[in-house]
Amino acid sequence: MPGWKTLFPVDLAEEGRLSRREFGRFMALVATGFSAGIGYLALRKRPLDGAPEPAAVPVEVKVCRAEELTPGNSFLFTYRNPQDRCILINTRQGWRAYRQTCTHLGCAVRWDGKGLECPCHNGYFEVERGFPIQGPPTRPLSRLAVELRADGWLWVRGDLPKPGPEAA
Amino acid sequence: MVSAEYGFFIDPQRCIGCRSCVAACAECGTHRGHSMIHLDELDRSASTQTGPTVCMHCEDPICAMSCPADAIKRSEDGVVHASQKPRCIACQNCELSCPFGVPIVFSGLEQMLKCDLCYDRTSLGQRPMCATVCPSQALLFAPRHEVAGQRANRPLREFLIGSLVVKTRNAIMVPDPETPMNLDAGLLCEGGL
Repeated sequence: MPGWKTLFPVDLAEEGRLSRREFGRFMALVATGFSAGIGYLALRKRPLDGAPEPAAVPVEVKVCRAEELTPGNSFLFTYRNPQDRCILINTRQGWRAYRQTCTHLGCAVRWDGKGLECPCHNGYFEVERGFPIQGPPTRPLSRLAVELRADGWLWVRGDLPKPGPEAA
Repeated sequence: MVSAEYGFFIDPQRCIGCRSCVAACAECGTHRGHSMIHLDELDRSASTQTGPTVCMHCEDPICAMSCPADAIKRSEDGVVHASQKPRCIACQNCELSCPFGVPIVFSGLEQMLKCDLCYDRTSLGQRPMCATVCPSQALLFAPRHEVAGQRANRPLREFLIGSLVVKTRNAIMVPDPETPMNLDAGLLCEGGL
């Protein structure tokens, strides 16, 4: 019997029939696929989601001299690359550094003397921890660790962990 | 499922050309409004003889084998069904290949429909529409053993097209069923084959 006749049988009863051998072949193929996928993940040695990016390795950046940033003022800088715009604020209680990217739609937030405002949709973040207190943003700003070193320069040392829900 | 004991017998000699079958066929639930029966005047200038053509339900259906879309299927009881709507591409291969000229591709439907032996009725034990109305029983749906002794003509279920042998589920009643009927179109030409 020609091959096409078994593939396209005239009889209704033959239509969609799966032989034991074909079924076994299909199952073997599926099993191989799963094993290969799991094996790949195992060799990768880390899960697909939540893997730390290479860029998350702390980078220390010299920002500005401490006495140049008087209380109540801010200083703009870039952290890892020219697109990574950040803002350093002297809040009388201490220094705070945030990414300027608003957590709503990514406009640049700016320091207005009391908090960080986003001009696009009137979002507003308090300056202590970067939590949103007004407007559409629901997540806090991405915060960086600041350190005053003995030479009188302010350094940014890396990302601070994102605050969990209990911190709010 | 249609009982294997029941056969469909076409006896053109008994046909009186009343067209009841044509009208009844259009009432069938599986293709309502479209008649699948071809009723032909055989030689209009010389005779009043007419002949009904319904699907012969071949054992190796040529229409199904010529279908590029795998749309024509035969059920276990040997009934060749009309094309499956999702598959039929209205290419007319079946129309051209059928040695009996049965399938019709309806241009409005873009689908081939053919006699399916009134499957909605025969699968429940009823007779096909045409056989119920035929006044001379030129179209007969009956147990095979009953027909055997009742008619002068006897059932023929084997046909020749050139060298191709076509065996069918339905039968044509002929005086001499021992000789397979040759349906080759070349015979229509002057001088035969």
